Amino acid sequence: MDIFLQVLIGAVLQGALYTLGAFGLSLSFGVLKILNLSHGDFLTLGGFLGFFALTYLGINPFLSASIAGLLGCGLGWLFYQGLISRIVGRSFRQMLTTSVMITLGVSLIIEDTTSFLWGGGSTGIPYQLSNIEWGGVVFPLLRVTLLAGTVFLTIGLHLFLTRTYIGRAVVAASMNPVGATVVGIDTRFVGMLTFALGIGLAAGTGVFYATLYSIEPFMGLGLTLKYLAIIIVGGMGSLPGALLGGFIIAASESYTTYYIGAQWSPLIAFTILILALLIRPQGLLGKAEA
Amino acid sequence: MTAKFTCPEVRRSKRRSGLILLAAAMAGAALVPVLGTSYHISLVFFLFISITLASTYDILAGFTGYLNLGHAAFFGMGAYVFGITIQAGGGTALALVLTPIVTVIFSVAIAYPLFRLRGAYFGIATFGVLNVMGVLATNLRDLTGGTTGLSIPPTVSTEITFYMAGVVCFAAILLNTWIATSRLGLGLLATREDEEVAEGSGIGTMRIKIYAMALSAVLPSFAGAAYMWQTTYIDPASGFGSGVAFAPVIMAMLGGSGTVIGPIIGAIFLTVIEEVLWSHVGYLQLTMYGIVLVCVGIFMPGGLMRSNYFAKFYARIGLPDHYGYQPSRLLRIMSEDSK
Repeated sequence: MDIFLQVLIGAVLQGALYTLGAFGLSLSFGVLKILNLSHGDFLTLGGFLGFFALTYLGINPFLSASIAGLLGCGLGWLFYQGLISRIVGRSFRQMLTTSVMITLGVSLIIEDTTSFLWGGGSTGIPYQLSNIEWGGVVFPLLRVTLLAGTVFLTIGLHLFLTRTYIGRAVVAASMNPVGATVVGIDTRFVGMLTFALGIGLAAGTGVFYATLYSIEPFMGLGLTLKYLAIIIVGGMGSLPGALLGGFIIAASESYTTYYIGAQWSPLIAFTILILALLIRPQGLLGKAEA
Repeated sequence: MTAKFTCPEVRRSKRRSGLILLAAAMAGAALVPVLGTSYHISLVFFLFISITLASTYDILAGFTGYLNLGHAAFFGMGAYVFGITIQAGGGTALALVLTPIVTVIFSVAIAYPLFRLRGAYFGIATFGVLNVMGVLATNLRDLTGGTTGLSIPPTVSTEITFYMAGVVCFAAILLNTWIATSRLGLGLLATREDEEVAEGSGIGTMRIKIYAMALSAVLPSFAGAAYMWQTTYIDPASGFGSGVAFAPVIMAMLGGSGTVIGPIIGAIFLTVIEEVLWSHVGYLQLTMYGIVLVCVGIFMPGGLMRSNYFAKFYARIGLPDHYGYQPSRLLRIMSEDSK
């Protein structure tokens, strides 16, 4: 039973990280209808930034996560202005195919350049805090703090999307772009903002990710696909959906790794994804398209 | 409602000029083992496989509008079925019969549930299927050899597998030509433009989508068998990895999805670029590959074949529309209206 709980706690934490990384992807897909295959690579970039910030400058991961977040927003803005803005507004099918080409190209560029500069191999951020024990269950303090951080960020995002004007504009633009334009929302600006924000969120999450697990240059695409699985399971563009999807996938992965074997855990995310798509294509908490 | 409903623009004389060009190119390729070195043979062999994968991928993606990101599953499956049959002592003939049968059954089995999905969802789900196949190939060690891969004893000369891949490639191009001018192709194009309207006009969209999926599965399975036969080795990464998965997608998009020539040009273009990068530049090859992709995505959204330069070029050499720009003028007008 202890082990069951222990695995559950690990899964909750991993789920929280999955959610944070996935949510940016979900938002930008919802608003822009662009499949960003390079999303996971920005998480890797953030992780590397956190690693260098700690080893060379001694900046602690919590600070460098916010720096990475800001830098990620900047990078996302550049990415949007330089490449994505040129394909927004093309016909749906063309946008789908060109976005696959462009973002896959960017993903290859980032992965290859980081592995060229870094030299391959995986690394983690060597940062530790002591553990606390309570009722026979060990709570690693670092993980608990990170969990608190992700919960805080998720609540912040939720408030941003439901309480602020810009956040509500984002939601409106993802629900109905034409309707949003009619009521005076600058959907292009909202699209740019969402894209930049999503990438900033991924980069910030990357620091947390590298602190807990390890990162390597070529893991970006795999992560993006896992994120896609999460947001499809939960429902595109829905924050609670992404949370639920993240936890379902993280928990099933953790339990599969523990009870069946680590080699089967890559199967889980995709099996759940395919089942979810077949049983409920709009996602667990998503709304069916009219 | 009979034979009149094939694509109206295609005239016999025009269809022939494309076939003559294709036959000339294939005759040139057939001379490679006679005149070239073993390097040339293996280069053209892999080019054949790339063209086969890209062209058959485009049956679904180009004509039907469904991005099948898991297309490489058919290739990997062909290689594995061929290898496993040979290893079990079934012999080459049985292996060559079993390969397409198993793959087509698999394709139809996954087609029915997957075709309930549309757009990006279909792409992601098919990629999921491919990954599931990859994990299965890794974990079912008794059958597939796990990560160490599956080896068969080398039995034939490279010429035989070369010609096999060549025939498969030729068949793939002919298949695309046939689809571009047939009633089935017209139905697929109508499905691509508007599935509800197509359904309403009496096209059994689900049925023809499954036909398209099955047709697109046959030749890649043979390509996989030829690959297995020549290299005598397959592992999960080279059968179901994301490298194999994205190559045909990128080739078709680069050349021009929804045309017969597009995937061929894309495959040749990318193979040449890869050869140049990998043999002359020692580092950052993937980065340059990525830059090419981004540039084509931004500047030539319809692929190389739809850029003005190419369109003029093959208007001049007299290739019919469906080889290049769009399968027929009627549908070109339709698709421009819907933008």
